[in-house]
Amino acid sequence: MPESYPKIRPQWVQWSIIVGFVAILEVLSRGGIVKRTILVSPSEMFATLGGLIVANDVTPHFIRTMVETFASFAMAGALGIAIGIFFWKFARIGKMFEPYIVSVYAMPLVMFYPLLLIFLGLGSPPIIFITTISSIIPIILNTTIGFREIREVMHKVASSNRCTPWQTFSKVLFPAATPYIFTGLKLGFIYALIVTIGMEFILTDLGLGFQVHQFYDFFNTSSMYAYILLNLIIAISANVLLFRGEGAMRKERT
Amino acid sequence: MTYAMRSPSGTVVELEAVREITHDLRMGEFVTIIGPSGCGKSTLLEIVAGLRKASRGDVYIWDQRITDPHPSIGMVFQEESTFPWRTVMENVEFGLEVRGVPKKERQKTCQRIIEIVGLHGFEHSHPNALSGGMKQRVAIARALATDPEILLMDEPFGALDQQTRLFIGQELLRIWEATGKTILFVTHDINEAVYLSDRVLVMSHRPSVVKAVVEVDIPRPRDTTTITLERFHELTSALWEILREESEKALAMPRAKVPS
Repeated sequence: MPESYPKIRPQWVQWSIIVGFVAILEVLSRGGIVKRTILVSPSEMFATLGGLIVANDVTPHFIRTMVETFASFAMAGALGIAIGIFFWKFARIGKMFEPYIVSVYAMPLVMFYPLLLIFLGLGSPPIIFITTISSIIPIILNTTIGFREIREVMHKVASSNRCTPWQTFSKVLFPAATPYIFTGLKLGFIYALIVTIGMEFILTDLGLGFQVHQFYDFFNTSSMYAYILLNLIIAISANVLLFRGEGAMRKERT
Repeated sequence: MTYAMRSPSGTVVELEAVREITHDLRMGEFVTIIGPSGCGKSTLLEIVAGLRKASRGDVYIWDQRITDPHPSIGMVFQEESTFPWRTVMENVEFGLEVRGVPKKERQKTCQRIIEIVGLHGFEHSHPNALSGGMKQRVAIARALATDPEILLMDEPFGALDQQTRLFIGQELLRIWEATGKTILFVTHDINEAVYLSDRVLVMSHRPSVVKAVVEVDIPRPRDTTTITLERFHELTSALWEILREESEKALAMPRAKVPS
């Protein structure tokens, strides 16, 4: 059946929903329908955030969160790709360990925070530790799948051209597996960001997540929402950039 | 020539895929192997390519026994095998690149090959932008770029429609005439076999032997109108007579799973 409703560009609908949602929040808080201690208006959130940025209040927290996120992601990326390749190359070992990896995926790692506090103290180390573990899982799994899915004929092309094992790996297999590895890295980065901010609620004294918690404790609703807004902006921007990068790569290939 | 393989249950079984193929190729000749499906055509070609080891029997090129892929042999596969992350030029350069030929030099060689296979103007396109027939030309160009003496082609046009096959077949004949390679071609398509080849080897059902060798005496150059000639029909009919019995056997027998 042909679609009969008027053709509207999907982006318009998507933006309308966001604008509408923000407008409703604005009306709810300005009209006094929801108390100021619970919700401040979006315009006030932006204004407060602007003020905090100008006052240089955000910078140390932003830097801390970014350092933790990128440090965890870098370790997860390097180790995760290496382990993923190992699990593909030694398929029996890979099959043996896969259930553990998948289980870690499903585990709320946050619950280990008392242990981490004891062993690693307060601050960045426990956060980087737990973030790396969360981030590495999708990277390992996707890397292994990426190498497993390479068609037999690609190996044959390499052999018939008499590639050395290193040439086969670097010029054929690794590039062939790249789309999967990239998907793993994309998920890994998003997890790294989410887990870092989440863990900052409980395990640290600095960072964007910590600030949300801090202002919540102080009943400073306006600043709390300003930091929530900033976290949203960072997470959404990272997501958009990564999806675009992935899209560009797939477009070249399919 | 037997071929040892691991059966799905994990035990090593020896499948006698190809029993007796004793055949010499002449330089610059276009020879096609045709046979019922599952008769071991691809296995034979991969043994010649050095990609599989024969458990009995040998393949020689100029008295040199083939055990590994030989530099004088290029191979084009049935499946789509271009590298999607490389441009057409980079795909064609692959063989020379792994041999360590400097970039300038290999680009010059590859440009010439790209023109021979009719992909001029697509050097910087990625394979995804090309049709199935064009992708196979990229694969052919990639195999030709290292200047092999012998080109092995395993049903390279199997995935293409009939009309595209005829035209790309004509292109292949042109490329073959331009480069003077020896081509060993595998197909299950009788028309394609007669249209392209100097000689057609007909293989029997497993364990395969060469059941007949048919000389194709249709004069060259041939083109897409060749298939309308009287002689073409005589030869394809003759081939079908030989093949029919074998194909029936192949259909009647439960097929052993031959790893690809």
